[in-house]
Parts: sequence; structure tokens; C-alpha cells
Amino acid sequence: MIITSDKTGRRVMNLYMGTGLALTALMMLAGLMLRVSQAGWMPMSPGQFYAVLTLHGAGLIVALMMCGMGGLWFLMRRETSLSASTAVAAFSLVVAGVAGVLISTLFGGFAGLYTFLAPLPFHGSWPNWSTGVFLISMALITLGWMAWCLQMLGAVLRAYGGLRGALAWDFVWHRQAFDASGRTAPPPQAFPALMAGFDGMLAGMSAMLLGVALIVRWMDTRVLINPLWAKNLTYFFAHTYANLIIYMLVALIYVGMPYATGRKYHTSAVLAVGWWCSMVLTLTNYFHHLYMDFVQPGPFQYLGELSSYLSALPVTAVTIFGALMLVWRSGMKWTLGAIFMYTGLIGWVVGGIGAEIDATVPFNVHLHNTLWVPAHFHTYLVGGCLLFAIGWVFLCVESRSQRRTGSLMRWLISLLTFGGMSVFLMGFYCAGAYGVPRRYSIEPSPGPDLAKIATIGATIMMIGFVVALLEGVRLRFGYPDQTAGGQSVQEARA
Amino acid sequence: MTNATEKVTLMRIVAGVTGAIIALGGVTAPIFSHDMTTIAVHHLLHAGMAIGAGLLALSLAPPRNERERSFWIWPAVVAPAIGILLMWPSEYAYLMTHRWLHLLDHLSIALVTLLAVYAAQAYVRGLGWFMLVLVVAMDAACAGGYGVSPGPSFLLNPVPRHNATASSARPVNAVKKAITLHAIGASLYNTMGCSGCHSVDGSKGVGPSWKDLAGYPQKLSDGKTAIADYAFLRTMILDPGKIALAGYPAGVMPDTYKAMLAGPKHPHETELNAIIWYINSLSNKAGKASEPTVPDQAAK
Amino acid sequence: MSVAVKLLITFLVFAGVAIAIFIVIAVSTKLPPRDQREVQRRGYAIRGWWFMGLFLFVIAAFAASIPFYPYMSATAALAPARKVPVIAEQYAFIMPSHLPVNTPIIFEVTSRDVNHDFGIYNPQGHLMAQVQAMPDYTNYLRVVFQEPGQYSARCLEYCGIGHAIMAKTFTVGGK
Repeated sequence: MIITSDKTGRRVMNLYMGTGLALTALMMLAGLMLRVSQAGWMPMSPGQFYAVLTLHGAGLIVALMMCGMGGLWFLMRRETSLSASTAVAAFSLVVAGVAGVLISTLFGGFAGLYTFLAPLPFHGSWPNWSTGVFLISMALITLGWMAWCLQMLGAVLRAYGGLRGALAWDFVWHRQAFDASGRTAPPPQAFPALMAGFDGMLAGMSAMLLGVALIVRWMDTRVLINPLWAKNLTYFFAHTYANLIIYMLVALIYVGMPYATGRKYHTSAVLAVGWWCSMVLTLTNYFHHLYMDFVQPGPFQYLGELSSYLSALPVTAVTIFGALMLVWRSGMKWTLGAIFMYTGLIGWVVGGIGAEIDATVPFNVHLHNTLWVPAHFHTYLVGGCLLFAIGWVFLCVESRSQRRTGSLMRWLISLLTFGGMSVFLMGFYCAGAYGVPRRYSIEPSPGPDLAKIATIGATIMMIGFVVALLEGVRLRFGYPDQTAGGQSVQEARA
Repeated sequence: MTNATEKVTLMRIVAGVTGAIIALGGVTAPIFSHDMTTIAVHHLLHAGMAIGAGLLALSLAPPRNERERSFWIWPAVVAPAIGILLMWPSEYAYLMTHRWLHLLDHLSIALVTLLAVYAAQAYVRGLGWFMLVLVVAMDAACAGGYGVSPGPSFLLNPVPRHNATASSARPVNAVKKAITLHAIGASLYNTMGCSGCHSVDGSKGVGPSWKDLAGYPQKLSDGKTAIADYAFLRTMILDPGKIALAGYPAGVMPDTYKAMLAGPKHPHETELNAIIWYINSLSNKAGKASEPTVPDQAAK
Repeated sequence: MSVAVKLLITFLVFAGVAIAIFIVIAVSTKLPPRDQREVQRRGYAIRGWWFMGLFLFVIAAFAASIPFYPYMSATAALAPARKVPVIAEQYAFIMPSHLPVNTPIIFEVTSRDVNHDFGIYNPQGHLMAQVQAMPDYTNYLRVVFQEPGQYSARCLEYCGIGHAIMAKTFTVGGK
């Protein structure tokens, strides 16, 4: 599955993932600047700080979304025909949006944050034009995202016989008849495609509704926007986008882990039902962003907590457990690709623990909008999603390279990256536990001291990533002389 | 033709005709209907019209094929956004007095919905249904907050100033009713489209600001002045054609509020009085002359 | 020790256990490999127990958390309490500077402009209660201050460039 002769598919994947990872690197540098400022070592003015924070958040979410979009697109192209020009056009829209975000934040000083929670974009100290550019950029990104989602959704409908087939409905409920008819269930990675397409469209349309409403308000100040309505739409779409990043990249786990362990991973009824649950629960989870909005209808708060708790079930029982079963006693070779993917699973679980604690309403009273919140989502995104993406890239490169990464180098990269990352993340968790608020350009004690420690950790982590990058380039130069395609799986593992 | 194909063709015809009728009804409503609804209800009516346009689109869409019809993905994602743009809430009052423009707006919304659903169904068969549900949900969701908002918390709105001076002739119940009604009036200010033209902070808009309006002398276009007392305010809202204010062109204030706020369906004119209470609360010259009369019993 | 620090310790314990499990499984790859079918047989059995256990834990945790939700019940809203309006605006809280101790207080919180969050820190600097301050809406937060001293309110919802300096100190009891 890793090896392919589909040149176009690989090119589109490289376009998405390459751009996504490059943007991630830039945004991580911006993030480092923020932590350095909070540490008091190179303080920025609040206007600069919040403009950079806006860029950092929006940029990273979009960058990791692009990694997921590229990987999943590549995998689904093995299942059915997919128009590459559509994918590239969608990519262009997203990139145009990113350019707009860069312009509005760096040149316009737009500091409404990546949540642009109405009515803040219209009550800011930044010029009016930057608000418009930012909102229009968000709309462009959403257009590109929706085109990708429709393409994915269309793909699973065409490949597996409509929605019923894509859900593996008959496979679960009428197994004997299903087998007798000679059909096969969709492969595991088709479920992330279905979920990303379906939930992604719901989120995308909500983002489009909110986005256009805010653009209309930007143009015409007479238009009223209900702040509670806007808040619900904002968190619905933003939460779903962020969660879909994880679920899209899980497709890479479904293909990468079996490859690395040499074992098989098939669709089972448990897998299918697990994904049905995830598809629904991800949509109802978003209420956990509004626990402290006491005007929300009460039932939504209860639903938010229950749904957030239940989400852990399909994730741990299906995907995590499945991956662990693949690794157990498999004699897997711990190449960098395997190391990054496996550690990404740890990050996902640990981030989930932090999230479930925050998702408990009485605890949320003490943690909401403290640094605990970035603590858990940086664990998910840096310690989970980013590692999945990097792990996949390494698996692809390692499958074609004749060079191997030495043990010492693997230990060095692991220690630097994961050690630095742990210190960086603990900086957030501890600060959150001490009530330090998030999104503060100047933090109350013990914020600045913890920021200093976190900065050191983040720097070490980024050195680790740079070393990994250099090693990856070295492996890339170890490809055999160009033949018709790649090597077969067996040859590569020799 | 087999039975199955016959059935499908019949379903398509039924869906198409039903959809066309609903859509046509929605498109031509501005010509036939003289009622103004709240903005929220209007969004829901648009959603209803979208159902019709969507059904028509599904009945017209091409058959399934194995590959994607790539071109159609773009109208499918862009059209819904245009639909939201076309439902510009602050222009509602304007459109109520320009019926053909309103019809054109409705026609555009219907066509854009038709395009979105048709495009999705043409792209990959089955996606049209999905798009129909999404577009209708989007239109309906607008009712929750697009052009509609509760208005500032009571904590920010002071109690009507004249009530703060202990006017002993006023029964306690009346004070309670005044406070409640003025809050309802503030809410109606937002939901009935008044905010589109009238500010409450003194800034100039299409219509006069409601700040310091009640009890103040108003210049008429023939040079005379009239005090904005209760009768004046009531006439301005229900029969705007009867009073011509200087500096404000005739025919802009919709004449549709009479049907919505007065008449046999509104024997106590509660909403009208609520709005006038609200207008009073924004003026320091408000008084018994400019307020609605208060019955002795406390209001519900 | 504040509630949040206890939660941090809880988090570290759970995370530690999870990481330990992952390490054990990673180390198992150094042992002689087993056939996948064999692993699956035992694995699925363990998975069944894990699923059941986690499901019951989750339901129990949900049920246990409900009594501690901060939302005011209808009865609490009618009980006698001091009503204290709090108006949040860019970048200040407009509220009294002295509040009574051991008295039920209902903060009526709103905003004049954008979303803010009224976060109350006790004299030890622990975040003890909070509620969003929204424009066009009023939120009700019921608090009883049991400890006299100097408290502070910080804004906990990003509200613009001055978000970090938006704070108000108030004293409880005394005088």
C-alpha cells in the first residue's frame, strides 16, 4: 500500500503534505516566538503578540488539515478514480486563504484570533480592511475544504455502492447475505474518508453560513448577529475541523501500522460500528466549548459531557487497541517512521486524558480558558497528528531508500523530539493547573517562569525535528537509480 | 419500461412538480402577500422555498455514472454561499416596499438553491439529497441569529427615566408593566426590522433615531412642528403616509406594520404599545403624553 | 492544594499508566514474534473487558459529576441572594469593590461589547468560579464567599488587545 506507481496520486499527496508540513514548521516558529515573549525574553507588544497568535492558530490548523487531506486523498485514489485537477484547485483555494490570513495578520495587525468570535472582529483596534481580508480568507479556505469533502464523500459513495455500502451497513447487519453476494467491505481507511467527507461538509456549511453572515455584517453594520448563535456555529465548525484532523490522519495509521508490523488489518463489524459512533459523537461533542455559557439550553451541556466521554470508546477500543494489537509481539523494526507513528498514538491518548478531564463540567469551572486548554490540544496536534504525518512521510521514504537510520541517530532524534516536547507540553499543563489564563500576552505568576521552561523544551524539540529532517533528506538520497516504479514491499524490507 | 423505472420516473415527476409549485409560491409571495413577518420567520420561509427548489433540482438531475462530473463540484460549493448573501437581513424593510425587487431576490435564492442541489446531484448521484438537507438547514439556521439578536441585557438598559421620579399618581402595577413591556419593545425593535433604519444611540439612519424622540418636537415637511406624543408615534408606525417628516422622503417607512401590530388580531395592541414604551425609555422628555395608557390591572 | 492541581496529579497518574502500557507493548517487539491470529484471539477478549470497563467508568463519572454542575436550578434562582450586576467591557469589569462574606451572591453578568469571561480568583490565587460575559445576554453565577480577603476577577475570554490587563480586585468581608 505504501508503494505506488500512481505518480499523479503521489504528486497531489506531496503537494498537500509538503505544503502542510512546511507551513507547520513556519507556524511552529511563530509559536516559539509567542512562548519566548511570554517568558519575558523577547516581549512583543500586545498588538503584535495577538496578531502572531491569530496567525499561529489559523495557520497550524489549516496546515495539519492539509496533511490529512493529502494523505487520505492518496489512499482513496487506490479505491476509485479521483480528479486530480479538482484536488489541486481545492488546494489552491486553501493556499489563497492562508496567504490572506498572513496578510491580514502580519500587515493588517488583525488580532481577532483564529476563533474570530463574533462580535470581536468588529470591535478591534486593527484596521477594518484586515477584518475583511481575514474573513474572506476563511471563506476561501472553507470553499477549498468543502470541495475536498464532496470529492471524498463522492468517492466512497461511488466505490462502495452508495451510503449504505460506504457505512458497511449490510456487512454489519446482514453478514451472511453480504458474503454470499461476493462483496467485500470497504477497507479501514475508507471510514475516515466517509467521516471526513460527511462531517466535514456539515462543518464546512456551518463555517460558510457564519462566514458569509460575518462578511455581510462587516459590509453593513446594521446587520445584527446573535452572539450565542455565532458562538455555537463557531465552535461547531472549529471543533469538527480540529477533530477531523486526527481522524483523517488515522487513515495513515490504518495503512502505515500494518505495513510496519507486517501484519494485516481488516475491516470488522466492530470497526465499522466504532466509526458510526465517532461520526455522530464528534458532532455532538462541540457543546463542551460552551460549558461556561450558562445561557446555553441546559440539555446541551449534559449532552456535551456525555458525548465527550463516550468518544473515548471507539477511539481506544477500536483504533488504539487495534494498533497495539498489531504491534504486540510483532517483531516490528523501529525505524523512524514506526517510532513517530507509535509515539503519535501515545500523544493522542495522553491528550485525550487531559481533554476528558476538561470535558467534565465541574472541572471545567477551574480549567476553562486556562493554559490547560492549549495543553491538551497541543498534545493532540504536536504529539499526535504531526507525528502521524511525519511518521507516514518517513515510512514512505524508508520503503524506497536503500539507506537505514542508525540506532544512535534514532535514539538522538527520539530523545530530543519527545523529551523536548514533554517539557514544552508540561509547561502548559502546569500553568493551567495554577490558573494561568490562556491567550495572555503578559501572564500572571507562575506563567512567565513556566514559559521559560517551555521555551527551552520547545527549542530542544525543534532541534530534534531539524535533525529528523536532515536524516530524512539523507534517506531520500538513498533511493536506488530510477526504475519504472518503486521497489516491491518485500525488497524494501530486506 | 420496467416497473422499477416507471416508479422512479413517476417519483421524479411528482417531486419535480411539487417542488416547482412550492418554489413558485415562494418566489411570487412578495407580490401576493402584504404581511411582514419577523426576520426569523422570514428565514424559515426561505428554507421552505429552498425545499421546493431542491426537489425540482433533484427531479432534473442526470443519471448516475461511474466517474465524477468534476465541473459540477464548484457550483455545488459556491452556490450556498451566494444564497446566504441574498438573504441580507437589514434590507428586509426596504424590500417590503419594493415588491418586484423582493420577487427578484426570492427568484435568485430559488435559482441558487436549485443550482446547488442540481450540481451536487450531477457531481455524484446521491449527493444532491445531502446538499438539499444542508442548504435547507442552513437557511433555517439563519433564523437563530442572522439579522436577529435579543438586544442589550436589561442590566445595560436603565429603567424608564421618568419612572425613577416617584410619580405618586402612578399605581405600582403600572411601573411593573412598563418595565416588562419596554423590554419586550426592545426585543421587537430587533426582530421586526426596526433596527434596519432606526438607531437607538442618536446616530443618523434611514429613519429618525429613537433616542430622544418621544416627547420632542418633530419638524414636518410643511414647516410646522408636532410633538412626538403617543398619537403621533402610533400614527407614524401604523399609517406612515399620514405624516411627512422634514428630511425623510415619503414612502420609505413600510406601511405593512398596521397589519402586524393592529387590527382585529391585536385587540390590545400589546406589541405596538411595547414598542412605544421602548421608544419612551430612550427619551428624557417622555411622559404621560407620550406613553401608552396603562390599565389598573398588572399585565401578564 | 487547589482543585486544578489535584486534577493535574490525576492527569499525570493516568498518563503515566497509559505511557507505561505503550512502553510494555513496544518492548514486546523485542521478544520472539507471535502469530497474528494467536494475538488476536487473546486481544479481542481483553478488548471486550476494556470496552465494558471503560463504558461503565464513563457512565459512572458522568452521573457523579452532575450534582456539581454550576448551573443554577430554578429553586436556587428563587432563594434569597444578593444580586450583583457585573458589566464587562473592553477592558474592565464594572462591579462593586466590596462584597459580603458567607452570603449567597448571584452575579448577573453581561457585556457591553464583545465576549468576555468573568473569572474569580480566591486570595490564594486559585480559579474558583467563572462564567462567560456575553453581549445581549445575562448569565447568572451563584457564589458564596466563605473566606474573607482580597479576590481578583480576571477576563478569561479573549476580548482584544487589552485582554491580559482586564482585571478587577475586590475585597470580601472585613471592614
